[in-house]
Amino acid sequence: MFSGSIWRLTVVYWIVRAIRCGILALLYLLASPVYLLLVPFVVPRLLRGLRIVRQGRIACPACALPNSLHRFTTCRRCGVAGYGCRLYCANCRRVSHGFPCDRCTALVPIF
Amino acid sequence: MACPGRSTAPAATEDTVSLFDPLLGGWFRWRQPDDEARAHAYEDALVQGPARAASAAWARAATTLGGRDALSFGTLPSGDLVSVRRAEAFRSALIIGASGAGKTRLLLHVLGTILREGVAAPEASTSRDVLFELVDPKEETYDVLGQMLAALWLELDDEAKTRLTEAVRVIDWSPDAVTPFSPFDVHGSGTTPAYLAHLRTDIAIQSSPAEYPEAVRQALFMLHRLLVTCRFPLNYRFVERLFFERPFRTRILEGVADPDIRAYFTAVEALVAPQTLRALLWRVHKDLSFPEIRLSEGVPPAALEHLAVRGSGCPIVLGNYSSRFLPAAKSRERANHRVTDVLLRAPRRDVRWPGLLVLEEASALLSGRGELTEPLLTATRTLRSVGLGIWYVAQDLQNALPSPLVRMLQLNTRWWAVFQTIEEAEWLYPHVLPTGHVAGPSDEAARHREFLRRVAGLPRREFYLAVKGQPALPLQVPLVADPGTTLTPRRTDLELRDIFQREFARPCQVAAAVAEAAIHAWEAEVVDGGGLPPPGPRTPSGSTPTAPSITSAGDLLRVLEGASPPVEP
Repeated sequence: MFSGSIWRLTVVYWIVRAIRCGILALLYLLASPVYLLLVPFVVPRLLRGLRIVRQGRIACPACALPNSLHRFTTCRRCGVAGYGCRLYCANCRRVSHGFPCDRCTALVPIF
Repeated sequence: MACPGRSTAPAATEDTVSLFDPLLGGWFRWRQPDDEARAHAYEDALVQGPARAASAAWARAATTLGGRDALSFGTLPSGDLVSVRRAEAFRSALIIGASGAGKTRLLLHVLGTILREGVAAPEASTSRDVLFELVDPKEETYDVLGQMLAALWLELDDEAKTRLTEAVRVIDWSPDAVTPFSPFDVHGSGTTPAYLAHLRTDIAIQSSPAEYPEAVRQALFMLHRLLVTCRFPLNYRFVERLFFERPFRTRILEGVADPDIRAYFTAVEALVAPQTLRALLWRVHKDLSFPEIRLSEGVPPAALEHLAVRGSGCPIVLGNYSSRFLPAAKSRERANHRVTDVLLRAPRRDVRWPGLLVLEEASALLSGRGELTEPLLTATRTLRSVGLGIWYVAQDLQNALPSPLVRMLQLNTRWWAVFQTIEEAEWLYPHVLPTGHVAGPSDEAARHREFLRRVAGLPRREFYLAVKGQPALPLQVPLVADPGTTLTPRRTDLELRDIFQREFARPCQVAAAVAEAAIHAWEAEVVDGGGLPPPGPRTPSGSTPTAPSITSAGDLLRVLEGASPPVEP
């Protein structure tokens, strides 16, 4: 009915958005004890992954081919292709925790 | 653009949802512009990197191949000229490709450069003292090279014109004039009479479409031995009387020292069936029924020494072995005889000057299982030590010749120029540098297929030059302008052909009437008179006889009768 830009100008949009953010914040708040329990296990893995992403390349554990993380890729969920980090799709916002090696197609885990 | 990173492998763990994914998503969103820039840079490097690396490697190879005395072969895609040192260029080589792909253009470009440099710098030893011989069974290269020579000749002063015409020997046949050829003259051939007779016999048999039973072969071999020993030409009336008239045979054999030949021909009626002799006689008759063959081969070697014909010793020899006047089998036989002569003399050549034997349509020359194949391969392998290289120009070598022969040629040639082709592209692939991205095994196979497709459809004049030890260079032959268009005023092809015939070909040929007279004189003396002619003065190989020149049949008859011919002013 409305295009996206016009929809954002309406008051209803902001009300819906505020409600969604509030619910999300509430969920995080409720889940925070769980997060706190997981932090010691997850944070080192996350930091390691982020360091690899910043470096931009990682050797395949199976064939040792250096794979680049930043290149032209196709999202496995929405099928949209584009330039960027191969662990994240800018279209559907899908986050991947690994990717198949360019040569041997073995999974290269990052996060 | 293709997506090299696309994968179809199942990814169970890469899709695992984590509680921290929204945080990671935020981080990726924040970093997105930077990630995109890095991805663009990576893809650009991926595509252009191998091409840049290949260009750099080609430039390095071009520098390595070049040198002071280099000959240009063509230009790289970047426009840089690629030249090859003469020491490398004059080694044995293969020039392969489909008809009309540009092989002849490359030959004309390189041989034309040699000619022009030789004329422009007659004192520069490296550019001038190259001896090359062209054996052309299809006439095209011979024709254009002849026009080039005529165009060069027109631009020179009188002294240089004389020098140039004296440097060129032309082998050609026409109904009016023929280049004399003495296949049974062992003098200067560097071999024994028996071996020369064996080679001539084998080439004649292999080139002929007729069948030669064993008895005919042996009779032909012995006839050739007799001709070589007596220094006689092939002559139908001589052979007829030799085979069927005992008194004549006896008289001829009186002058033959070889006991084996004497024994054979003394008992020839007992050894050989009359029908075998008649079969051989028919073949001789058929061969000599072509006037061009009868006139060029019929002049006795002793008489040739008196004729003012430019012979051996010229640094440039152009041979036209086309089937314009002769059947293809006879033309091929003539070419094979000539190549045999060159190879027989090669081990005694002067190593100071590099030599080059260019064989057009080499697959046709090598396709028979004749005696020529082995000497050619041996020469390709060994004559490097005497500075002689052989360029084989051929199309569809892989299918035209047996595999072991092709393998031998591959191994023993220094460089290959591969034009538009299908099978031979496989030879090149290991030497070709990748110019695109290769990620996995499937991409390597795709690249291989793509390369074969590209070589099969190479545009005209484009080729790959693969010098052993260097990567294959994608080159384009420079445009070779029509010789007449470079002159002021312009000359037509017809005019240049006339000049070539007049200034270069005629001095190397004998007029048909003169050759006919020489043959008649020899028949009158040997066949009708029944005696051996005086051996005549033998000049060292390469020198021109000092006897007065003979320009007409009358002069020749006077010489053969013992009177002095008129001396030219």
